[in-house]
Amino acid sequence: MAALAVGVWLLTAEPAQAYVGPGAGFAVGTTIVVFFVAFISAFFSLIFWPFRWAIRAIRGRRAFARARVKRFVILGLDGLEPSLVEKYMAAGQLPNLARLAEKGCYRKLGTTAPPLSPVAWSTFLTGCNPGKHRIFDFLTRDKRTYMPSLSSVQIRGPRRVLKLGKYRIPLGVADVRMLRRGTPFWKTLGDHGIFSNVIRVPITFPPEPLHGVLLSAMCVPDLRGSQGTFSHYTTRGDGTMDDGSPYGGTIGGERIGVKVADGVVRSELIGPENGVRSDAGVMTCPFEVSLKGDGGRLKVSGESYDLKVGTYTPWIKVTFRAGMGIKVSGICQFLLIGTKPEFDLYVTPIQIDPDKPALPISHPQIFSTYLSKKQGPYATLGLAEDTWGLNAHVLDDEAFLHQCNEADAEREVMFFDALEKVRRGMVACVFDGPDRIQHMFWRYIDEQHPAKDRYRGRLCPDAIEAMYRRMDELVGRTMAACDDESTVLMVISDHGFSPFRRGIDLNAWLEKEGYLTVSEGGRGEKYLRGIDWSKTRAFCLGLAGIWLNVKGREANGIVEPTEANALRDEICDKLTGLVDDDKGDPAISRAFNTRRIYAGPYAEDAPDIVVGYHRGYRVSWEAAIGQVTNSVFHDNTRAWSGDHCIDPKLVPGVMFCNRKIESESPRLMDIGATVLEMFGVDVPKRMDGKPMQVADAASNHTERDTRQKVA
Amino acid sequence: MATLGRILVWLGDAASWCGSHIASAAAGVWNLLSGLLQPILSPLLGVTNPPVTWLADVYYSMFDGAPPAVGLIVTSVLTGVVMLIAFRYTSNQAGIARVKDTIKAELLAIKLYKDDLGVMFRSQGRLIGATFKLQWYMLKPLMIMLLPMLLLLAQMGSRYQQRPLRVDEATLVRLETAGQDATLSADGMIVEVGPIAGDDDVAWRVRAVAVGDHDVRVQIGDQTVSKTLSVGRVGEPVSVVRPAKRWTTRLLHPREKPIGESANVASITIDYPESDSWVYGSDWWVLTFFVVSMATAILLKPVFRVKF
Repeated sequence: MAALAVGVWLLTAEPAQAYVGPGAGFAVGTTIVVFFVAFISAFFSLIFWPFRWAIRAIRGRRAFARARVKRFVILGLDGLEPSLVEKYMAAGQLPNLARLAEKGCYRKLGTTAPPLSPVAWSTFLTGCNPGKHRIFDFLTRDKRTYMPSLSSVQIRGPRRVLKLGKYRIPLGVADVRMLRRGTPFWKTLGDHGIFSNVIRVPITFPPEPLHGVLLSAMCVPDLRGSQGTFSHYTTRGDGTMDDGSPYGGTIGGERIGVKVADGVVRSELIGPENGVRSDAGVMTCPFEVSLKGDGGRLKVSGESYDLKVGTYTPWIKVTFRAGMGIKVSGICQFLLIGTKPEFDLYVTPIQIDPDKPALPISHPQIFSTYLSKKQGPYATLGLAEDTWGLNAHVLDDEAFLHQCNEADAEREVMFFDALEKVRRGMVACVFDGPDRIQHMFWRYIDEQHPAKDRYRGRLCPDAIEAMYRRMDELVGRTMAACDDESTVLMVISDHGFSPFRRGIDLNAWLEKEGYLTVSEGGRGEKYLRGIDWSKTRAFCLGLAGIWLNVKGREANGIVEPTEANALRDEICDKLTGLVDDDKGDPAISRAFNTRRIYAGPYAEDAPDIVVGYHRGYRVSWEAAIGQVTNSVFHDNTRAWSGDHCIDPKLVPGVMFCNRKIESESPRLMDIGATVLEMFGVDVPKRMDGKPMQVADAASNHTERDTRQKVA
Repeated sequence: MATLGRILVWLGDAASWCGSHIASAAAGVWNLLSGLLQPILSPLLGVTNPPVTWLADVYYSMFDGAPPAVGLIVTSVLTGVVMLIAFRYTSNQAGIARVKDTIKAELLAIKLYKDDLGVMFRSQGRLIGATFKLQWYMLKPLMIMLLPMLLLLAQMGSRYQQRPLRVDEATLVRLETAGQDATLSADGMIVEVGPIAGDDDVAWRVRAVAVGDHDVRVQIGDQTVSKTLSVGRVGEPVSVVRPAKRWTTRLLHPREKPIGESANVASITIDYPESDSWVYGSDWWVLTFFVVSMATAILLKPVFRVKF
């Protein structure tokens, strides 16, 4: 309209008066730029489209001819538990999933050993057993130092740096390496000209090139390089929160003391290390909160925002300045927990800004920017929902649940945009909400849970049931968007869920059984620092299993390689059927000698033993971080009350499909092969997964059905 | 090739036809609008022009003795800053930010999904829609800034578009009236030719003979209408037209008091020569003003946190 007004003016006034100042200049200038860029981009896209189409057709000619599907949509609902699905479906609470099951099929989906998200999703996307993709747990250990490290990614600073006095000029970008091996099935699809849109499938960081777009998920770090460090600014000393619950300490976050002076709180956000100045330490971003009544006004990075107790701010862009004009931006949300008698302010981990990512979090890199422009800022952290904040009693149930729901809402916008954009190709999107909510709220559906009634504040006892209904509604909307006959819709979970009432300190058990020795004063030391390696034959680190201290492999190994397999079997035999004497319950269902269950070039990198716990049990918090305590069994009193790192046969996932599927015992591993087969692409020999028999749309019965009818 | 040539010619004709019809439609709209605004703006400008002219003279007195380009550039920079701040507080900044994000998103979508023509065309459509929405958001600040900007531009136009006559230089004096007999007299000039009567105007060719601001008097019937003639004073503003009641003329030529309603004269015009500098000369000054004010606004955009 403004341009129209200016146009009228231009046509009727004298030239000298045609320009009416920057006001019109802004309008006209912006319009001209937009139209010019749009025209140029459309022009070149149109010019080159026939060539791209021809190349695609040549590359994918076989697949085009053999494809039985135009679009394959995989909706991943992380951790959806079959027993709960069946219970709620029977109660009529999940009408859309029930309709999907009726129209097509519903099966339990075989998961991986161990049934952990990074392992399971790596198997999903490569179609291989862990021995071929090298992801066995969240963590692995450094063979030289025994220190834990992330199993899927390694992040280092730029390889070359120009030093000028105290300044360090990076000559390149950060070195981010994917440690997962194997080829995702969407890469194979792309090799045959088939487009993929992959959103937040775990273990896709750093993003690998593909024919399509991809947004990374699990293991994307926060701006500080950690897997999520929240900040709690408070005037309280150590002790308890207002509701009397114990203050949870600093795991997964940090507490920063502040003072209220004249109604104002001033402090700093903690950013990443200053990579430009060697003497500067971490970068900070100052902020202040002016308290007023039951809220306040936040000033940060030159902008002001209202704060209200119990309400999150929107995503706020914060900038950290390194010097020499170099700055890093991130996004975070603030939550004013209380102002009286104590001031408590929670800040989410400062996440990579998707608009201008400090590290590549998507392929192509502009995809994260596209999503940010399309829908506004969104959570980019691998584990976006701050479970540690709730464990530490800094967040209450409602504040945590809000994070889960918001993250899922952001994801849904991305997912439906992908469904709108991709008319031929593959769309895969994983929602993390089900996993996080069941981890943190299982205590409400488990009467025997030690953490039941331990948490206060705004409680959410119906969170799990509400989440299942919410996911069902999502499935309903997805079905509506995929109601054409040429689209296959598959709804899957990577594993199920189980209560986590008791933790087993495997290190204490190994000590009791004579396989591990604690050094003097070493009890309780984290990250295996308290182990006497000269007398230790086996140790536990991470969620999945046990490593042997093998000579020539570990830095201070003492187990002869020739004796290792016998030792694995010996420990497995002892662990299988282990009983919790305090409760009289079986604690471990079975233990796996990984040399017998994994096959592939990386099988040797696996933990030597993977433990399949019984329902209600899991590795203890202490053993997971390499501590040794005095007792083998511990009550789990944390909000993190549900888990799935147990015997895989006890926590299968779910699979719904809008077409009939013949296989009675499908596996997560088979899905990639099935997608390839449906698109007419030969399944590579490296894949362990086998294509499932999926019915054609017209008849919705499988090829075998047809063959039987013919016979 | 011949067919292609014919197609191009046809396209050119079609564009020309469309352009002429759009222009005539726009002119019609403008005439209608102008008629509606006449009873409001004409008296308003009669009131605002004298103080604005006084303010402009005071402001430009700061640049006495300096090259005209200095005043133009400083004015452009200041205008850029003031308009930027005004734009921030009169526009829907959140709405503009959202629309700009949409525009960027759709441009990126064209790149990301370039293999799918459907996606590309849908994105193009959304781009056009978003552009119109952006224009809508720009309309309010534009309307608010329009009048002050026009007042300023009129003052600037009187300084940069034309220059005063030089001694011994000839020009035309034109009286816009309904065909009545008129006589012209003035100090500091001689009438060489005229009066020459047209359908609705009378013209004289005059030659300047003395430096200064002279009163040109036109006797029409029993009334005398005067107008200022500027001769030989470099850098001084000139008033090309002494307006009567038409608001557009009053807006663009603010330096002289409008001719009384009873005079039966629409305007008196002196055809001053165009300024001939590439920076501040005729029409170039508009370009200079545009470039400098826009550059200032764009450079200071992050400082004032303005989105446009």
